[in-house]
Amino acid sequence: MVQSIIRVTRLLLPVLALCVTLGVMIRAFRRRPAHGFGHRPWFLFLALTLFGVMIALCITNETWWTEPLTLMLFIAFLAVQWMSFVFAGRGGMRAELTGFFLTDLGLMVAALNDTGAFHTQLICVAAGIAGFYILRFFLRNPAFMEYLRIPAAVCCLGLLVACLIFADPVNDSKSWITIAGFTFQPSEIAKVCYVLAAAIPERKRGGFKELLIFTVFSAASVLCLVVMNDLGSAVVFFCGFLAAAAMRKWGYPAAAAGLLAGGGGGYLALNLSGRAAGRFATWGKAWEFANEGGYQQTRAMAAAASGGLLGLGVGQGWLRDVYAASTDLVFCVICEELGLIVAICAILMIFLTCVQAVFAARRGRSPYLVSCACIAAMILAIQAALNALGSVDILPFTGVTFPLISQGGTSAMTCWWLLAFTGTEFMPAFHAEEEEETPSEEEVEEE
Amino acid sequence: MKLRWRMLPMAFAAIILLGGIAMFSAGIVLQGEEWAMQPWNDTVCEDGVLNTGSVTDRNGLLLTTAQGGERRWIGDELTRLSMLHIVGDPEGNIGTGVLSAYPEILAGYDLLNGLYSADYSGGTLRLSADTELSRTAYEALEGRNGAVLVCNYETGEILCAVSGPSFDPADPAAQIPDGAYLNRGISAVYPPGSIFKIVTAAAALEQIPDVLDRVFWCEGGCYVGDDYVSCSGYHGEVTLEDAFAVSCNCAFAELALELGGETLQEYADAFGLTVPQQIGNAETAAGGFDAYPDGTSHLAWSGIGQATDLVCPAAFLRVVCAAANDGVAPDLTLLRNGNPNGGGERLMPGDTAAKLLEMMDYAVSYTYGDWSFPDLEMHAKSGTAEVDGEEPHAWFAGFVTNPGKPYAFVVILENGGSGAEYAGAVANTVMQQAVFG
Repeated sequence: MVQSIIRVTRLLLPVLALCVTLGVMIRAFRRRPAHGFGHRPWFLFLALTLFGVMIALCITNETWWTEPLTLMLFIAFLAVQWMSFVFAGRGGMRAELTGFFLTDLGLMVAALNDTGAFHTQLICVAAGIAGFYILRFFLRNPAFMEYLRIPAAVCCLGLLVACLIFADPVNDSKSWITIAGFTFQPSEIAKVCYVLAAAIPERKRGGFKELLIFTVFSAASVLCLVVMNDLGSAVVFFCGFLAAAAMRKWGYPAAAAGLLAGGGGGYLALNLSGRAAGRFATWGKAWEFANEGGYQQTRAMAAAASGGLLGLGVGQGWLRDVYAASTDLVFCVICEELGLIVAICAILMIFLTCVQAVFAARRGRSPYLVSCACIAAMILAIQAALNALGSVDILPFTGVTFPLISQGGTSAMTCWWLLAFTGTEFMPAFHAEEEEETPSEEEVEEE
Repeated sequence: MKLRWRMLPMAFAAIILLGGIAMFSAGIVLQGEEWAMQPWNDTVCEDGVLNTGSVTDRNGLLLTTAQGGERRWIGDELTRLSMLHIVGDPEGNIGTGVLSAYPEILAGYDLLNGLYSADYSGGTLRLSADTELSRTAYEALEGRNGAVLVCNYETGEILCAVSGPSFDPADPAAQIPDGAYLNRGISAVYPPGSIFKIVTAAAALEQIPDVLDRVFWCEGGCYVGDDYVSCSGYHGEVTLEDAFAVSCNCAFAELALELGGETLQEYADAFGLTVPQQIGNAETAAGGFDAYPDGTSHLAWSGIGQATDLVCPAAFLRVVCAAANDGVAPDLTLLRNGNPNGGGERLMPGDTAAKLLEMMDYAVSYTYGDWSFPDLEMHAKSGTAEVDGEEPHAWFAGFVTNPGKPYAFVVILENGGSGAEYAGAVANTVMQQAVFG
């Protein structure tokens, strides 16, 4: 029975993943909002649902009738997908499709790790999806969101400083805070606050003073993360800063200055942090240090190659037994069990989020929304790149999570919130008169 | 500046992401097999040992298979003993066995499915070796240490690679004799004795223009300086053909002195006797040949296959193949159809090979006797390699030219005595099976 399910699903899952990715790709390049049949992509959603059902079958095989909770919860998650589909607005479901696809994979990883992790992940995903729709609702009124910039900045710095003070060091890094038995990662929530705070304001845009304040705020955030020894997140924030700075007047010089400062800071951090330096020492030479610094990367690459294009089947891999496989090495776990095709689809989903952000600049009615989409997409892309390419020794192995796939409640929740900022250009505006606005090649002229 | 031009950093990050994944995908396509075939890969290994895949002989007879991580063997013990060194042992101690040399085929790796196989049985590897021939060869060894190699000199397929002593891989409690992990045909080197005269003769045919017209004088030995080089008998006046047939040390000592150490070394190198030779993924042991100064008895002995000469039986099989195959040694392979394009290396010109073939034919009819090899069109050279304080090693190397049976062979019996008598007898038994079996 188990083998029959594996035989069928390892062939169907890549096909369904390709269908979903192709559908999202077509919608990402669409110049106008979909109407009529295209508004609700039934075929695409059926493929996504079937993908989810197959994953659910695989992770609950043999135990679905003795321990039905996991299966029921997964079905509930699929029901949420359908609700969001039925009530989808003109936005076109693009960010949601990306989110649901990656979350299916993330839930698979968590469920195969242990049942408790699956439940935690599902609760956090639920909070993430709820936050996604709340944020989407408020993003319809960019003018209102701009008022949240200062509170968001305070919140971002507050969370990072709190982490610095209260967090217990784990693996030399002070990233985790435990309150009343719940452990969470404040730097993940700070990412969302950073997007809100760093986006270009509609008024005062291009002002030198605003640029200065923004730069100081970004530098403080990155510095906090460096002191926390969370260098992966520091790189993610720094790239968010580059994306946000480039959108401002005088932004490119500021970004260049930031790169210089970041490069110098990175050099210092490498010299001060033995752990980070150790990871850099084996970068690109993982096979030479296969049983030392390159242990995780070589195992990840061997496992990824074992999967071929179609994978060994869900739950049939061994990489899950290696330390941090469900977080840092998760890309290779997907390669091993679901194959290279599904893993590339996951990467393409993140890439298409960036494509949407670029297209949003042509169509977006609000520079604030456009810059939100751009920063959020940058953060997601950098996280995906650091995770996937770090685990296969193309980039340094930094231990950053893969958006929505890596096991981790806070990360899954905040990645959904980050997704809320993307794909907003066809979203109906809050005001009736803006609803009739036709997307155009809008430009923001330098003042 | 247009807003979209202000998105370059993000676009750059997206391109890094996509470019990096393209690099990784290229790595999987080009090096996936190498990445996957690691001893720590629990999909196909257990405690660093490959626990998947099946091996059959050239006729499809299943010799060993692994299912669910447990390796099973063919029921017949003689077959297990005779095929051990070509199949290999589960622990990977026999490095030239296919279980060690071809993990990627046994694991069943391919780009589409990776290491997935529906019944976890991995891939199937079909040997070029023949079970019946190997059983005959193992029995012919009669418990002596040594090796029997037989190959097709046109395709390079190894039909038999039996080595003694052997042990039963299906019986974990079996007492493993000393040296049983060594495949004596592929991984060992021995002093070659008179079979090296094939190399010296080839060098003389090419380097000394009138060598076929010469007459050598043998009176049971000769002096080189103050050292005496003994011969196997009193041969009197002999031509090169006669000297080759009766294995006259005096004639070959004279030829070696005339050719010089460096020329002989060039031939030993060119014939692949001093460097490891590839047999698919396996590798032969490297032999040795020292170029001694002109006029010394060591140089004379080195042309006779003594002194410090060392030869791997499988490497010498290539030389024999070249003599039989118009000067070209085919790429040896342990796999059925393992050399589909007929790849090989020319070791000598065609006319040298033709002359060697004549001389080996004459050696059989004149010295060993055609009656020793009934119905076989045998061409061979024996060797009795002296070993200090022990019985000499017995060699017999050659080939048959029976229609449709292009088989070359090398037999070595460690401390086996006379090459022509003992190794020749083993060769006859094995080749009778190979040709008429």
